[in-house]
Amino acid sequence: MINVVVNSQDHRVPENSNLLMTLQLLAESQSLDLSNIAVALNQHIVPKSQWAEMLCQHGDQIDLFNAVAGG
Amino acid sequence: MTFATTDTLTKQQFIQYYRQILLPEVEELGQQKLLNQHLIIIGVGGLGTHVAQQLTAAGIGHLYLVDDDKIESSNLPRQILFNPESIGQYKVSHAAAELIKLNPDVKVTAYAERFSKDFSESLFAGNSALKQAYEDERLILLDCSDNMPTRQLLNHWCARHFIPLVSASVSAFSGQLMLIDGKNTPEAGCYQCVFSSLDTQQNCQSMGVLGTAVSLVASMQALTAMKLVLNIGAVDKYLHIFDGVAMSWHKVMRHRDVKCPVCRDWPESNKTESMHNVALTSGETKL
Repeated sequence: MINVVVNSQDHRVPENSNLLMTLQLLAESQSLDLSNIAVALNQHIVPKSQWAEMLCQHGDQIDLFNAVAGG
Repeated sequence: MTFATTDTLTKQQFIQYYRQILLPEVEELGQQKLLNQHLIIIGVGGLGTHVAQQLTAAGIGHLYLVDDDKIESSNLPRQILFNPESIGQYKVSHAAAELIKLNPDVKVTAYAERFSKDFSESLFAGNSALKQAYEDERLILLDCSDNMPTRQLLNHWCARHFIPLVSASVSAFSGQLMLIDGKNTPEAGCYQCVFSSLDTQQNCQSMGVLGTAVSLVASMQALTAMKLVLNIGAVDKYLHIFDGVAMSWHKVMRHRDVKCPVCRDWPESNKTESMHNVALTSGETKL
């Protein structure tokens, strides 16, 4: 297992997890709608099409953002 | 056919804009650029009234206001160009009248219409000065709208025409800001590369909002537009995130989605930046 920090909270995920797998784990435990969020890995937005290609490393910081639409 | 642009300042203009002209990043030439700039503001609500007021005062020469709403009393705490007597009027009409009073240098065109595919396609055909500004690359669009379908539509239109888009949004105590510029920073992608959905609950109607938070985000949006016109500072490839509870701004680098249906045909950029091995700092505005 490795440790990643999601929205400032520690999470343990299996080694060799990619970003999509990590997000799916979170979605199950936190009723997260993955279709409606942006994801930053270590302060870089990862486009949705690349979630499955991005391997998580120990200590990675993952931040999840909802779109804000109001004006 | 050519359209007149300002190539000298009058004595009155020099006095009026002196504090801006004093900045080495602006000077007289910068003020002329501002006076020759065309800006379309989509949505004349909280953000739109603030940015319109600030940019008018700064001497942005040509403003186009687009909104089909009428003024309601619930608008007054944050939509600062309106007052109780203006309730019931079209927002764009009343805003235009107020802005011209604030700065007669500024030409304001009001469209009491919703930004739609049909509207966008008729915009250049119906306004030759705006079309000329677009061809001369003196046109920027500010997204001050209040819903995701409009935001996606604006992104699509700007991406197709390579018009710089300054997108800002706010609800509750959260704000977001990004500059999308397919010509100068294609590697940062477009709005849809960050947010692809057509729906969110994060709007002022369902979440509420404070006018002071709106004002802060709007000021950053107006500053982003002015920096772009004046070519001040490094190119901006970030999503800026405001947290009004923590009183902080946080930013994350944007990257183009190679499979994005909106901007995948933009020219390639050889600039790449790693998502790993960068300094870790704590995030602030999150789910």
